[in-house]
Amino acid sequence: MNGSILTVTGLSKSFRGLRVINGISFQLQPGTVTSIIGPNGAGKSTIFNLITGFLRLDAGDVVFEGSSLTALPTYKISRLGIARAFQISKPFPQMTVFDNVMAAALFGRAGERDPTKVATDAIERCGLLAVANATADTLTVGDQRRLELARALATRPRLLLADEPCAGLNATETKDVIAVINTLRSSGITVLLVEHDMKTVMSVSDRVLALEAGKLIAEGTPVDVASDPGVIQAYLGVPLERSYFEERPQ
Amino acid sequence: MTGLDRLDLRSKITGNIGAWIAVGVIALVVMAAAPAILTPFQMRVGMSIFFSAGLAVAWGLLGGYAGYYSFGHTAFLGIGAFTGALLSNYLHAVSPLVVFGLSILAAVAVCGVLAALIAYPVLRLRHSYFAIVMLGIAYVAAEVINNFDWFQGSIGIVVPQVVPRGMRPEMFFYYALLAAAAICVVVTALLVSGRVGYALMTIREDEDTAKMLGIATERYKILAFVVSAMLTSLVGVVYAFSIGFITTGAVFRTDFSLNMIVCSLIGGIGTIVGPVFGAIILTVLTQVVLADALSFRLATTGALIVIIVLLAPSGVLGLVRGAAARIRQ
Repeated sequence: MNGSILTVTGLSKSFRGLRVINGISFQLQPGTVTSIIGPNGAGKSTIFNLITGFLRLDAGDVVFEGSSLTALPTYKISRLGIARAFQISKPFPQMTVFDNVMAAALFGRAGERDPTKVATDAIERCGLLAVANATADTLTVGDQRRLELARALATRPRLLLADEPCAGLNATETKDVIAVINTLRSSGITVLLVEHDMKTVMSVSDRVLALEAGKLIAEGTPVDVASDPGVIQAYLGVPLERSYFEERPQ
Repeated sequence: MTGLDRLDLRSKITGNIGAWIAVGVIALVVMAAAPAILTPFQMRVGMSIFFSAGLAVAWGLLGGYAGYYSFGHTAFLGIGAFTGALLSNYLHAVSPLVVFGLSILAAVAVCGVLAALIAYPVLRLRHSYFAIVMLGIAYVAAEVINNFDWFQGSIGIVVPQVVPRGMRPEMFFYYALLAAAAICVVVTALLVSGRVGYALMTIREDEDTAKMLGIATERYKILAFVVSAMLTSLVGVVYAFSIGFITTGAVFRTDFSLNMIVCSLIGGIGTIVGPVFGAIILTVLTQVVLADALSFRLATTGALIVIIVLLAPSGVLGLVRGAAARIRQ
């Protein structure tokens, strides 16, 4: 498919002989939200680690906007325009929310612009203005998730990898995070999401990738993947109820 | 009016630079004028404070800001002292002050090069592994200088007198150590008040996350390591000239490495002012309050560490800031 922002080809990774990612290929189209689903241990977070250079891949290639990422260190991958929000929030605990985001604005792709403006914009977009001067270790879990997103945004990414951004959040906090993701999509940022909550997946995703034991077992629209017999057997257990599809914004 | 207009968004890292510069200039002027009224004993206490403060600030650049606790920074103090002492003995034909200046430059340069050479492999280690490797490097450096005759580490080196005629030695070294400590403070402040400060603090907080924000962590760690080593050697070479005769045992002292950490802990780790406060408190306590109770010094230092770690993990500066915040509320 032409015009993809990220092309992953034949991605493979083994740990001590155990193959955790097995020849996965997919493409992401600009300005879309793609979710990766699958049971624990399927390799979802490992794909993020391979894309961002935290792990070196054994075979395959990752190409972002025409540039291969396979030999690049993590910080250079970030500067190309790929940001990551971690599964477990990793704020810099002794620094304020503002300084957390400012660090991202200073060193990410935003470096060439006014970093203070970039940081304050990201804080405002993620609804953290009220706690901007608080140290990160005093935030609620929900605010820490939003800080994770704000910090990723402040690097001015073209692609955001969000690893379970709604994990551990209540219904209100989850809605807030979903709203942020939808805003990112509407501003042209491509999002690759790892998420277990199928309501979230169905409500925000343009496409869904389903993994099992390191293999891609289904790919397509949320409705197609959710009704795929292989996905139902490997992950969902039972077909999703109709209500899961009705919350999707038009 | 937007929310941003109403909110005072300010960096805690770069926000109070102007105020601290003003405080620093006033403190420097006061300390420069102080010898007019100080007794010789008080001047020696002052020299000890500058010595400890300079070392603690230099250590804090790497340990406090980047979170890489070195247990062997005395290696750079010792190498700097021996470089200066050895070179000064070859420079007979030039004036004492030039000898002093050239020795300082040589010591700082040698330590900078050595630190740059070992930085990459050493900084691949984190936490206690890094701390212990640095301790090992200090022991290796001391053993090399002790056992190779050319260094004269075991028999000792007489360091030439560089004090200008008509000036009391304690006056000269009071100002020399004050200048060395001031350079440590200014260089560290310049480094940490901008991008480098952000980079080092994010490395301390979470190095992997820092990489994901586009921060070239290796580069900034190496920068902090090399500058910290150079500043330590600066204090070390001035110290060597101030005591006039050095042996391996006199400069590669484990308690020097320990004091750098203790001063930072007492004053407030991860700050510039904290280690200075810590140096003042520790020196006054051990050299003035306990001046007649030498056997209690180490026990007091140990007790102080336990109390600070348990009751004020952010150090004295943290207590002051906490109290100020409560008053404002």
